Amino acid sequence: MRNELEIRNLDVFYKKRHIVKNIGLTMGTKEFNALLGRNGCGKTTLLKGILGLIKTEGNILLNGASIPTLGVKEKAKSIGYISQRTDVTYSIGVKDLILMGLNPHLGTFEQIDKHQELKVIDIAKELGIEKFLNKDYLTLSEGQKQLVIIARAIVQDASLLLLDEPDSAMDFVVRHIILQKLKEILILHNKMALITMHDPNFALSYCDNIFLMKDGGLLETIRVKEDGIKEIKRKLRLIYGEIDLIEYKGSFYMVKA
Amino acid sequence: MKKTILAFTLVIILFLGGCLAPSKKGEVETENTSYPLIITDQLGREVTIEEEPERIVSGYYISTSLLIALDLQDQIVGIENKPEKRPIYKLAAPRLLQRPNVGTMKELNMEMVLELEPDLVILPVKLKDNIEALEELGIKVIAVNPENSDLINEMIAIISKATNTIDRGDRLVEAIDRYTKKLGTLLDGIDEKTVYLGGNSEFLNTAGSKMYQDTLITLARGKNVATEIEDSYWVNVSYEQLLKWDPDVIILASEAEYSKDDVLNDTAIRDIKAVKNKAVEVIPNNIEAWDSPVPSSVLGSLWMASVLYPDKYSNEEFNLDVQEFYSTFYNIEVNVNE
Amino acid sequence: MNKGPRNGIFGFSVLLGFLCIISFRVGRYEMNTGDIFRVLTRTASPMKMNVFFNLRLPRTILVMLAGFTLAYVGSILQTIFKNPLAAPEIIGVSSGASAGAAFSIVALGGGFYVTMASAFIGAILALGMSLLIASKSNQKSLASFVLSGIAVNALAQSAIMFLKMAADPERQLASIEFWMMGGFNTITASKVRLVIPITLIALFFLILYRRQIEILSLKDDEARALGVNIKRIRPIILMLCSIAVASIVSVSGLVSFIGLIGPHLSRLIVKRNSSRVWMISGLIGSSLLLISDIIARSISASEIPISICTSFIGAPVLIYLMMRKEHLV
Repeated sequence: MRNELEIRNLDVFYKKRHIVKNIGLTMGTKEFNALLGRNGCGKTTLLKGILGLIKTEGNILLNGASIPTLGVKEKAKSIGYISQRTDVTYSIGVKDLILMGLNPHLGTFEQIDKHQELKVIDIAKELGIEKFLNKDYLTLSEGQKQLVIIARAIVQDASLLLLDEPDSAMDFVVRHIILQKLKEILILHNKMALITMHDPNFALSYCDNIFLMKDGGLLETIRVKEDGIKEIKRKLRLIYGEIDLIEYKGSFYMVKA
Repeated sequence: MKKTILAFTLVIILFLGGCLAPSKKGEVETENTSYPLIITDQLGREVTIEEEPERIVSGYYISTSLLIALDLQDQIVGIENKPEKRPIYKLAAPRLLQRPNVGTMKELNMEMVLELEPDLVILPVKLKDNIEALEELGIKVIAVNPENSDLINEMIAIISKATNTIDRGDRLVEAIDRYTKKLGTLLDGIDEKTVYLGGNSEFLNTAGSKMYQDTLITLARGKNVATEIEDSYWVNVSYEQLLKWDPDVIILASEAEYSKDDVLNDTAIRDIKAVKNKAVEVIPNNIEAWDSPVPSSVLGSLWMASVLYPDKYSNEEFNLDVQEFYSTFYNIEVNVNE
Repeated sequence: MNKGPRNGIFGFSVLLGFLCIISFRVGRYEMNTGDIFRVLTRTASPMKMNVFFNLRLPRTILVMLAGFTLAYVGSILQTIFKNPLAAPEIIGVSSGASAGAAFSIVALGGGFYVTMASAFIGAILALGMSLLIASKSNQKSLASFVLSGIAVNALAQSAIMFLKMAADPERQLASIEFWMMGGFNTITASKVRLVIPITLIALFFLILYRRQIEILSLKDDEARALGVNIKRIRPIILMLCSIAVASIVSVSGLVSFIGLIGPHLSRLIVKRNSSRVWMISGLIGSSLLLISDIIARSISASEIPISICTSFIGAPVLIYLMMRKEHLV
């Protein structure tokens, strides 16, 4: 079944202020898309609006269903959320954390069965973290922690993943590893992802489309594979000003002009 | 003849010896007080009384009752809070109910005391801080601490000396002594019954050997089951402990929040001797709370004796003794069975 | 699966069973092991049967239940509030119950059942007020619960102070103080019959909700994104916690320290925070309180208020475990 996210005329409000204005965009299955923009452009607010954490007006349709009308649990079945950091106060087993992803699919008092636990082990293997399953989450590195959260999102079986700067706490090498893994997972499991990022170069390396935001509005969309270097440069300049674009081994990289 | 002269001389020598013997603290040697005089109160403070007090403030129900017994109610210009709680005032000195209130055992209304311009203030030792403050303002304060029978007698001596009522004070002490001895004689060699005293706030709250209530029981030749407890305040005990003690008689404190029936109907203790024999009584307080160290508190022991050993000391005899006491010292007719 | 929690549950259950037997044996009324045996086979004297079935057994059961409830709820609260210093006290249950009890003692005659009802109502009212204030505040976050708890606590404390001032120093004041120190000396079978069902039902639901509570240990946004309706679930959990604690506290008075230390001890022993570990916390709480009560009722003829014992015993245990470098599991 083809997954599709369609957003039309979306306004998002945060603490009574009108932050995101009249956004429209579409995404399809297996797409890895980025939301790019300077600080304060509204990308995190947009993400939270799609998630339903804050007030919105307008249309958000996921596979034909109107998201804002869904209940908390229903929403969680379709949309997964990975934030910058998952801070836990106390030690918690990695497996217990991943199992939380099953919550949207369980009745209020229903408990997790063995079959579902096995599924979790499989997903952990896919992400290469099965050896951490019995370990304390707090003892993991930043990259490993994020893989755990991604595993949880996969267990959640949501068709849309929303990621809010998930790589910001990681170093250069780990960032590449995580983003690469994410892309593989999307294709393998037929999901789509929308990720907010600061660094355009990572977006240019891994993403299919880049939505450029400024002052709460969507300025341009970069189709990374289709747009030529001149197009991409023009669009990026709308946000970042004096920049230049370099090509290396088939990918584009933004530098200061 | 020689023998008689010798005996007579001996008597005179003894008499002179008695007069010249140094007086103990609180004991009075002369019939009338001569002012100014220096008194040592029950905090150990030396207080100088210039002249016979005309305006007395009593911030303690025990000293207020004592002042009535010493026939000084007309000199009382201020008393403790909530006097309407005490039946004795309505019976013996109703005008006291109109007097201004000066505070409780926890807190004194200093301004009210000063406003009344007293010649003498009597307060419990618990209000030590207020006492010191009043002292600095030049007010004469006597602190009292009637924690046991000896201290009650001492309090009577101090107050009567300070107020020039030594005669009445002596007679009061002597009456208390007489009643105490009466119990001793009546109940000499008796098989002592065990008694459990249930406290005011809760039935499972009792008084140990160091508390005043223990004296009440022992004077009546009862054995306080809680005598092994050495705390100087009320303590909690468990049902099990009470079952272990298995008292012959259960006495409830005079201001108990719960009733005799509550105790008799409590299934947890139905196997105790006292409950089986329905030997549960409440200390009466229709005249005064006899389980507190008021001047009449010896009557509490008398009452308990009449409850523990009615064939040795009947309720009628008890009533007569109570009537005698109150008509002599409080000038009222009473009946314990009302 | 980490074997730690499971072993812990088994181990502490055994310990608790052992303590339970000691508790049957110990008390002011002399009963030796032979007597206990005879009582259980219904061949002992009526007096001994009365002592056991009407006093010692109900007291033991209630103490175990109380310890378990306080510690289990403590674990849940520390999880939801993401704060290792959280305890049943912070949601206003304790001060609300104290205010209710003080009110009964000063104004309603202080009879046992009246005080019990009053304390229970006081606790639930305090929580209700807490929830109401939090829901009306602009910020619907966790912080608003904490703040409203502080506000309600302050109100309850001032009510308690006022009632203490109005209390008759000769009897009511001491009553209030004793209530606030806690004690199980007045427990009989009939009193326990009211309390146990309510507590068990509340605990039952709390255990059913354990998955959601575990998710509440995450940030609010994350928890919501995982399908937990925080606006609905959090008040429900807090209400269940309050009912469980309130019904215990209404008969025993305030029992301090167990709700705070049970969770800590459990996490020191099994370095995890999961619903299984909360069970261990509950069992630890049960054991600690039972030990405390055994001492409180047997050392002298007079009962030592339970909160004195819990702190006296709990603190050294905590210090000891903190000193150990390796973990037991």
